[in-house]
Amino acid sequence: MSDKNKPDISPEHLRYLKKVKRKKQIILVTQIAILALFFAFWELAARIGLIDPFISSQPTRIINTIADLYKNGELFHHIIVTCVETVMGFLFGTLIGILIAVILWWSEFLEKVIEPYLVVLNSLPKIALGPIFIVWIGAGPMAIVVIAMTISVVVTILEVLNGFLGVDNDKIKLVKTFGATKIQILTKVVLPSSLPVMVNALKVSVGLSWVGVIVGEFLVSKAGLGYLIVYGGQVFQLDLVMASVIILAGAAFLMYRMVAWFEKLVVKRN
Amino acid sequence: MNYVVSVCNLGMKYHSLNGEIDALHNINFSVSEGEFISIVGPSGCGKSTLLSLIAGLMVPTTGEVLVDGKPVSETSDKVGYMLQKDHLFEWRTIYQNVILGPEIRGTLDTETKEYAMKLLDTYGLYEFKDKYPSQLSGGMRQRAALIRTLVARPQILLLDEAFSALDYQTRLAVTEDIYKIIKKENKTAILVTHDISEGISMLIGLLC
Repeated sequence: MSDKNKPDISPEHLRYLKKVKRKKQIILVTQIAILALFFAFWELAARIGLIDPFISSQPTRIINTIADLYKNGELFHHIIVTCVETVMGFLFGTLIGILIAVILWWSEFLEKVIEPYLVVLNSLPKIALGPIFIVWIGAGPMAIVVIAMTISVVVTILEVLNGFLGVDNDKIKLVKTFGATKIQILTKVVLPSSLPVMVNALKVSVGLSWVGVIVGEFLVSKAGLGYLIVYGGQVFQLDLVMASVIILAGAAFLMYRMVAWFEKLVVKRN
Repeated sequence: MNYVVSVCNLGMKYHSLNGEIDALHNINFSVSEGEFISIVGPSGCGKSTLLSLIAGLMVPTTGEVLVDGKPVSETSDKVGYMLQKDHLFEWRTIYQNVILGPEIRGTLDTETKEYAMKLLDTYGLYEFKDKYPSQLSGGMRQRAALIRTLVARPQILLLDEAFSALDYQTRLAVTEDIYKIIKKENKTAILVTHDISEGISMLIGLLC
């Protein structure tokens, strides 16, 4: 029931709401405090010589590195390159994955034939295919996108197909009594009732796509956060490595929140 | 006498790797217009198979089903099928759910839409037409499911334990509710159930 129907809230309920809100605040404050303490301790340990900042870097040096990157105008270039590759990776991965899942749902014969291949592909670390793609496509952003896509596409196929096959048979029977064709069964029942599964697959794909992009950038790239990390490691500039990892964490977090928001928008009803 | 449904020597066998199952064997009966008959039997005695055959969802192994004098070979809009649960689609509003049949058949015109509205209005769901199924009570959902079946204007209704998913009290109310609606719309109906009391409560003709 909506709140509009009961304008007066009892004091007990008000106290309860306050308690819930307070609990939430305490959790948030603790989360921030842990992060702040971690960085403070890191900085302090580096200052008093407990750890060697040359190997472990330190927060102030990381901030300086990020500021330098910003001044050179490189910072956003690298972030955008990586983010675009990731978004393309998971979008293509999810779309192609759903498309293949639809085809396999359509033809039981194909599904049975393909099944063992999917199982092998699923257990194979897709990163191993990286060098092949680089040779085929060329050392560039396209190869990175394809690596990212390959990682997410297999999981998407399996998960979405499972969702399709799990659709209540009686719901399909119902539309069949209305004389539904196979394409109508797909569009009126299977796709809409699998929407939560598909959005969930998208969420998983985002995480996998990051893995694919960073590994891809390790292998071949002239820009991107993965490139910065690998470059920093090679020239022994841990400040650059740490700075890139922290930016990466922030970007991954933001992207996850955006997808979670998208999920909320799409899957309003369960 | 004109029969709306005639079942002649109907037989159905299911095949699986473990062998074959004789679900129905030599079934014969006829239903005249406006009749409401109940078929009572334990689970697994082939009641649902019988309804699926009448609805044209499956092809019988032997015999045939005549609906309105014509043999059934595929699903037709003459037959409305109500399943055990309401199976309203959660992603559609009540109105969108109710017009599902004509929408699939491609017969959704203004007249059908008006008919749907009229049925919603007559059976007290008009205010809920833009709500989603999860916002309705079990009884209301069952009524919406019946309206969805009626909007397709079937001559005959098949009810497959249509109320067994509800709790006992709701079921009593809904059973009466639905019975009244079916009588009012003057539909021929075949109800299958494992619950003898439910069968008798809707009774006009009984087949055991």
